[in-house]
Amino acid sequence: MKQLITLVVNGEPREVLVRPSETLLNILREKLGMTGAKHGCDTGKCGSCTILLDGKPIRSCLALAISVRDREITTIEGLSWNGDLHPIQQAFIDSGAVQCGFCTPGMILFTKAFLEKNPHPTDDEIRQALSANICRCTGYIKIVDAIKAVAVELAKAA
Amino acid sequence: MQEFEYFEPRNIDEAVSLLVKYGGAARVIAGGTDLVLRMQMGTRKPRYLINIKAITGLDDIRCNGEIRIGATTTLSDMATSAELQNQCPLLADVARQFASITVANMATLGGNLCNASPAADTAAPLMVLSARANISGPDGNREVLLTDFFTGPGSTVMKPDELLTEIRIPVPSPNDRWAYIKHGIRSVSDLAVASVAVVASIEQDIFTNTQIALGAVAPTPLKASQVEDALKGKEATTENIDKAAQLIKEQCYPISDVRASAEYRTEIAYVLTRRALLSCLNAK
Repeated sequence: MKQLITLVVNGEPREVLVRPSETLLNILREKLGMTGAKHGCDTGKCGSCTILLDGKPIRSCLALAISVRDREITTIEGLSWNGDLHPIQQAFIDSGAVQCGFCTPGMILFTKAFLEKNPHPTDDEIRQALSANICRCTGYIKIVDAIKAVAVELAKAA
Repeated sequence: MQEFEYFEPRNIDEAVSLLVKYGGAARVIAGGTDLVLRMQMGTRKPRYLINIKAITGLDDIRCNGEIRIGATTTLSDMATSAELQNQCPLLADVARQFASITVANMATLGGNLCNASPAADTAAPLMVLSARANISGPDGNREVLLTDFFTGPGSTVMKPDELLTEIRIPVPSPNDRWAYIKHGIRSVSDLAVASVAVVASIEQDIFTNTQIALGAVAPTPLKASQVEDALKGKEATTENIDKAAQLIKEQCYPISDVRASAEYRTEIAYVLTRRALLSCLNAK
């Protein structure tokens, strides 16, 4: 039976009718029109569906929408501000860390949570952390470059 | 995914009442990283889903005389707990090596144990730490040693109307040596081909008490009792370790699957057991 729940997406409460079996990823993409989180492996391995739940990265393909009602959900759509890209988004563009773009929303959201916990990561720490997200184009080097560059920038701004 | 009725009990009693009512047709969900996946694939079709994440007090780590970890504690909370790092570094290390950060932010200790995969990362380490599972049911609570908890792939001693609420671990002696090795094809986002956990007391170069358990080399996580017995009272030398570790080949009975053949797992069970014991021997 469908239930009316509230999902707080990018700061905005959204009422949505869900079946208990629907995943958060499907609700975001199919009901709320937010297609930034990608439908990749659907088994929690690839990281392209990564979103932030109360600031922590999770796999939205493995979360039931009904189980995350009233919690803070951040998707890639909520990162830019008044048309200005988030510094992490800009750094990915500047470093050439985006090729096909499929993994990018997950990579960027993951990076946001990662740098909040570890503002001055080493290359090794970045690579270790990125093992949660798979990219089939870049070979990761440009992505690591982007994260290093933005870490420096965000540290200066802080 | 097949439809189901969804419940969010507020406390353990409510959860147990639901389990009494729906029993075998219900599944308990916490992190969902395993169950949602199986429901997507259609290999699990519960008619009732009982989400225990909303129960307060089930996701704490407390170290007060003994270590108590609530069933819905996430693996990432375990990996970053300063208390756990201090009192039981073996378990903190296991949590750090568990899957990817994103999955560890969802997956819970209780889920890892109740799914009862022979490869469950936390099972072998908890067995060597003499951990107990605290289980709530309609007739109250009972405690089961983790070494008695698993009965087969995907099955445990828990009845359909019971709920795992907490894991209790005696604080290991700071003099104990430990080792944990998870061997896999990929370092993340994959199950172990085999894993081993060891806690060893070595006094005056003698193995006085050695606890060894392995994952993914039998239908359940396996206590290497033959190896443990062979080491008891023996001098802590490379030769004795090698001789004793060989015995795991007779005790394990792994399967062949997409990750490795039974023959490979048998050989690697010996290699990992030997390597973990040597690492204990060489630890300060």
